[in-house]
Amino acid sequence: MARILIVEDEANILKLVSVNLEARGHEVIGAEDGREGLARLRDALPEVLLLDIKLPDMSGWELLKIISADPTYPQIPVIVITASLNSANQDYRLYKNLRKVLVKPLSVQELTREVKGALN
Amino acid sequence: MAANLPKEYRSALKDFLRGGGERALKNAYMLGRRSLEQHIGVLDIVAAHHQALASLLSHSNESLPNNRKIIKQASDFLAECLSPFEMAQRGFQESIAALNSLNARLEDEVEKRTQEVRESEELYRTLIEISPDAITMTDLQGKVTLCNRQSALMHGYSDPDEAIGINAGEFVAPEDMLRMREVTLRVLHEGIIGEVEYSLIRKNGTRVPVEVRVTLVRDAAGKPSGFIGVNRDITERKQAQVKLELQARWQAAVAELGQHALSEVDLAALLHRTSSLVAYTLNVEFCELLELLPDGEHLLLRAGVGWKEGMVGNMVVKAAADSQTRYTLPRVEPIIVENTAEENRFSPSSLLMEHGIVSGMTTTIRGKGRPYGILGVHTCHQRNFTPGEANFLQSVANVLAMAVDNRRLLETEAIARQKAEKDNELRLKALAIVSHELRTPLTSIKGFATTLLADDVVWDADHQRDFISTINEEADKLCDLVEQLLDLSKMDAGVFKLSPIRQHPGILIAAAAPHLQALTGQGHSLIIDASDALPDVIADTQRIGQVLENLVENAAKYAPGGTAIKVSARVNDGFVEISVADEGPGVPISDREKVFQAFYRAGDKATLKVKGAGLGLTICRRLVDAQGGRIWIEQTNGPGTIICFTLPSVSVVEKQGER
Repeated sequence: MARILIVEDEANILKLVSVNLEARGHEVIGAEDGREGLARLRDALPEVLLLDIKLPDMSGWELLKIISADPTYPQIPVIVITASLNSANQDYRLYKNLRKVLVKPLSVQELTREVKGALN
Repeated sequence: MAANLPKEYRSALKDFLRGGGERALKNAYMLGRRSLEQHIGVLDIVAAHHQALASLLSHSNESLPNNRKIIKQASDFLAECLSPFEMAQRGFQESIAALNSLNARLEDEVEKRTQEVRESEELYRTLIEISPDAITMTDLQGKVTLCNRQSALMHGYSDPDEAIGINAGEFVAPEDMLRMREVTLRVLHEGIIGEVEYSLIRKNGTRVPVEVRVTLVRDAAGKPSGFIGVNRDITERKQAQVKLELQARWQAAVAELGQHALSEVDLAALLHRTSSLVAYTLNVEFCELLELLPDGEHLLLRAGVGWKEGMVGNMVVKAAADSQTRYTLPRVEPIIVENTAEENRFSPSSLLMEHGIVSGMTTTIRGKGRPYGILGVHTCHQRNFTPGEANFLQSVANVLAMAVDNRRLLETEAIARQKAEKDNELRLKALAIVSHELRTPLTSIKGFATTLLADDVVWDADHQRDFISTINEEADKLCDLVEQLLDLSKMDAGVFKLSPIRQHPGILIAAAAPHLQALTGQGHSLIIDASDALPDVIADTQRIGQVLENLVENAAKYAPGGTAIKVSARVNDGFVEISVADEGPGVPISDREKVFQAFYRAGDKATLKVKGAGLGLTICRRLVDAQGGRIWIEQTNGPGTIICFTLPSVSVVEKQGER
């Protein structure tokens, strides 16, 4: 089906997303922080990026800014997963690849629906 | 001719007697006189004839009867000739008698009039003498012709007689002279009663404010002959007027200041405005506004008028024990100095002497709490400040005190508001963190629950077990977090209860040991070192166990597997110090205090991979503080972390109890 990159430092959430997307036929690549996420984006060529906001080395928004500013990164749809209330203050239009912001806690149905939508 | 005379004369005389007056009398007199002059010769002849005839007649009476007849006829004729003259003479006599009577009547009249005049003059004099006003009569040139005692005294003479002959104009102050002259001229030419207020300068040179009413005096012929002036001393009225004007001026100044105090944002500007206004209103050369500095010993010249260049804003004076400032500060009434050099309540300030200051007033600007400072005015000439002026100064000081209090209140309020805003910001930040920390385990729980419930995927038993155990693990985390938050909330609300008891530190640590073993069991060795020689401590067993668990859990999280975690106890200055040492990466020096702040997580990328809400050490600090101890990260050079906390030994607690 599709290759999906997920940048998430919480092991259990990474596991949650992985098992569900794999069970639905996708290939999931995990990255534990922003730096690793950017590297995987270049070398693994995923079709969708699932992005956590609270990362150990940078915020998900910073990572999005880097991708948006640099056309050498694959410009793929991004789904942000956040627990932060401050996400509401972000101007989503600044990130042209941003497709959806999902707020934790999220249901698997919601997640799979959004990934499906991003791939079509 | 002669026969006609008596008729004319008679008619003139009749005329006079009928009341023709002077003219008729004159006429009669003139006619009589003329007639007599014309006939005087005839009269003499006739008289001689008459005499001769009469003599002849008497001598020849018997001898010559015929002659006698002739002579008799002649004599009769002559007698007839004489009769008008006799009549004239009788007329004269009558007219003289009439004149005499007239004269007498006139004299009576004159006498009566003179008496009346004398009486009326007496009345005037009495009136003038008893009048409370100063009454002065002058001639047209202003020379005093009559005055009463009041007038004499007003001009500086003890007796009215001394004042007679002086020139009233010379007693008018030069600046009032022109007005006085104008009014006098109008009195003279227009006949008005003039009114003037002027300064009268007495013989001895002193001044008195007076009001004069001037009127013109005419002589019998109606010609202007002088002036009467009624002077009234208006010193009291003037003083009252001046006092009222001053009071109005002071009130206006205080009101103006009050307005500025309300509207002026800048305190320095208000103080400058105040000093100028006070100096202007009281007409003094110097005004000072001294601010009492926080040390209570020195005062800064914040604003002022008259001081040497560069002093305002810079000069600091010491409130020495014997200084005017020290004397003024505790007093509620303004301190009035008549002569700085002769003052004995305090030593003259060198600053005042240097500026040549003689008199002055100082008062305290007394706000709520300690005085703000001193307001003062000074002059270079001797001046006796009045109670009114002192009141004014005090009023200004009070307005300033209110302004300063207001400002202090505003500042306090601003600080409180800023703190509240900051607190609010921190609270929001904390809320965001708490929200995030709560959502993360919740996401796993909900995620795996919905995973299990999904109807498009069938999970095998291993997966199902794995998901359920993850849910369980995350639920535990959530539970711990909720527990910690609840503890902190209780501490914040002051409802956190401790149950301290006296016990040996070894027993305290032993009570927690099984939990500590469980925390380190998987990869670290736990070493406990508590000597029996330690003194007893007063502590809550369960809460100290919680602190120990937290510290050991942290050590186990960060220190590499296989390393030792050592819990030891020793005596430290009356306290028992318990430490937890690990061989982990250590805490950066800059973070060693911050880690005790709620939600603060120290370290770099590697240590941040270790999960936690960042509440553990915050709770530990609160628990240790609440039991009279202290917690900190020991300053070590080598690797590893040593966190120490103290608990008061029994001896310390007893000592505190004695105090």
